[in-house]
Amino acid sequence: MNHTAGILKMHYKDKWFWLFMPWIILLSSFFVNLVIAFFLQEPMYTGGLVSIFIYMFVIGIIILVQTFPFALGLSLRRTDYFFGTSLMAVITSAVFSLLLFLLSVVETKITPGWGVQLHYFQMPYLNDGTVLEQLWIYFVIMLHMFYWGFIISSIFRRFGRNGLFIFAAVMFILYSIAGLLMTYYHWWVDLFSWFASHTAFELALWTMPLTILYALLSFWMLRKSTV
Amino acid sequence: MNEVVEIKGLTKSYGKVTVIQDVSFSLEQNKIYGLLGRNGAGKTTIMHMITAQLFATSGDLKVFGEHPYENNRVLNQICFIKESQKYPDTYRIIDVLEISALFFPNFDRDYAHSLIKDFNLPLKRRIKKLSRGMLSAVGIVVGLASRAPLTIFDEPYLGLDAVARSLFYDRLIEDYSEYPRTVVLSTHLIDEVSQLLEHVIVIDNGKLIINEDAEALRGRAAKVIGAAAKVEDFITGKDVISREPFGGLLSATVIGLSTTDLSRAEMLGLEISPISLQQLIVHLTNSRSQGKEVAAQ
Amino acid sequence: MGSLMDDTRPIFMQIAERIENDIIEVTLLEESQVPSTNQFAIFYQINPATAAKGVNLLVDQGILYKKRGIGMFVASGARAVLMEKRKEQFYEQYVVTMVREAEKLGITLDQLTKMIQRGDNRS
Repeated sequence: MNHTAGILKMHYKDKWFWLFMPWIILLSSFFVNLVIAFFLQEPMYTGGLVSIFIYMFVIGIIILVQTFPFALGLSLRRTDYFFGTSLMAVITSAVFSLLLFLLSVVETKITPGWGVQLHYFQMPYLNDGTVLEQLWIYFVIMLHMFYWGFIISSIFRRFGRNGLFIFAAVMFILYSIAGLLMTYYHWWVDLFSWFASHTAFELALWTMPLTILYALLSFWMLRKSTV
Repeated sequence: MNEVVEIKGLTKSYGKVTVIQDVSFSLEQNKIYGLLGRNGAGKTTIMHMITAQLFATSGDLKVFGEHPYENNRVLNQICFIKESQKYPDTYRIIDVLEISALFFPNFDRDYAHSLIKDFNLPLKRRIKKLSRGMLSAVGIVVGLASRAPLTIFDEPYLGLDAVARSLFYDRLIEDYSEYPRTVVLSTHLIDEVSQLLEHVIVIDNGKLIINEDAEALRGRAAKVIGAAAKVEDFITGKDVISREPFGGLLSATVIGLSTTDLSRAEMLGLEISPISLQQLIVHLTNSRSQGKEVAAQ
Repeated sequence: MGSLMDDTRPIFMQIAERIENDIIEVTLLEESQVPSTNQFAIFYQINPATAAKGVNLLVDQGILYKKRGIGMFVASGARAVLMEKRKEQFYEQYVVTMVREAEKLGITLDQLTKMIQRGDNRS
């Protein structure tokens, strides 16, 4: 059988990790918020939605640790592993995006604020665009989070602990220098106004080149990784 | 094409440390090989390179006539069962079987399940919760049931008791008789497997020291025991792999005695006793590494 | 592992010897079928190629013969041939060694003959 599809099946065997866990976390946070909102008299906004995006980041890190050595042990190609795993991440992000969108519809159209003025799935700014735009925002950000975790794990796999330390140190230095330059040239205000002048959809699009870069680099590193 | 694996001048170094040095050998179709040597001799490293899980520093490597790296034509025909294999945390035994069935083209589900019964394995138990022996048995089940044209077992029986190990050898011989394939058994427990082997490859300190037919090695070496002076006289010019003085006596292990040698030994009144394959390899791997230590001083 | 084979000698020779013994002791009758090499391999936990080598040794000597598509059989007259061979081996292994040892101990040929007769009476 096609190995990419086989790897998809391999990941799907772990439904807890890919499907149940993120929704248990998200929904339990939601119910806690629901209870709080019930006692609160005014409208409530919360950032609980972030948990599922963070979870995608965690999946990106853990999945490689858990399944890459296993896949190599099954005489699989690194290339097949990368594409199978990427496909799994794309499908998961798409399904999650759809579910999030449906829940936001329920929140706004069917039960205004779940009856307790709770804004959990429908966020101002984030959900300003059209239906397709909203779906796209979820999808693109989730995928971005996944590959962010995935590239960190790939660095570890390819270059070991030291490689990861060096990478972290380099990133820290780069960000510090960038921060200093921003302060020195008074660019911070420009940056914020740039953010403010764009819609969430436009900003989400801006993550895409980075996501693609992460994916390509991960692929390049995995191709050279060993057990 | 008869050569399943062809290795020429294979070398692997980590920085300045060379773990595999200029190793060359080939594996032919449908034979059972023993890749023997002490722990840390480099056996696992070689197998990792054959399966493209590690990269060689230099040398030539062909598996089924091609390079195995990212090559499904080659990789599809290999099943490598290793002692250190990692499994996803949530996997149960049955999950491992089902996933293996996806990727090994010759995988026989019914056979796998009959092996699971033979080894008394709990199908629904998580891999994480298995004992060392059970974990080894899972590897054995996958290795046998995959019926891959090149099946490699690296120390496959850690934690298995004598009964289970014997069961493994029985099933291996049975299934191999029916479905011949190239099998590599890598182990430092030579005694137990030596009879299953058709060919023996011994690695010591990253170097190849023996590459011979198992039967040709049996009875090849003998221990000569007698008065020290007489033994010394007898062994001059011969390939001596070890010598142990004992009082006024000397016991020397010698390779390749001819029938004339034997009758001469008899004339000198020396005692000759043949040594087993296991003892031969132990002597070879001991003496050579000791020799190294001496040289290093 | 409780092995039936001696690892200091080639196993194919031991397999051949076992079959020979069975023929001499009439456990294997002439014109009867011999187990297949795979059966030998499984029974003794040895490599099938090694078992085949042992069986082929006897085929080459005319002790066993192949029936196409059926298997291996003991040739008629095989037992007599083996007995003759074993008698020769007996002479080499026991008689020659015995005489040599007797010389070493200063036992005369006459004394040796008497010792053999005494041994025969005891059994």
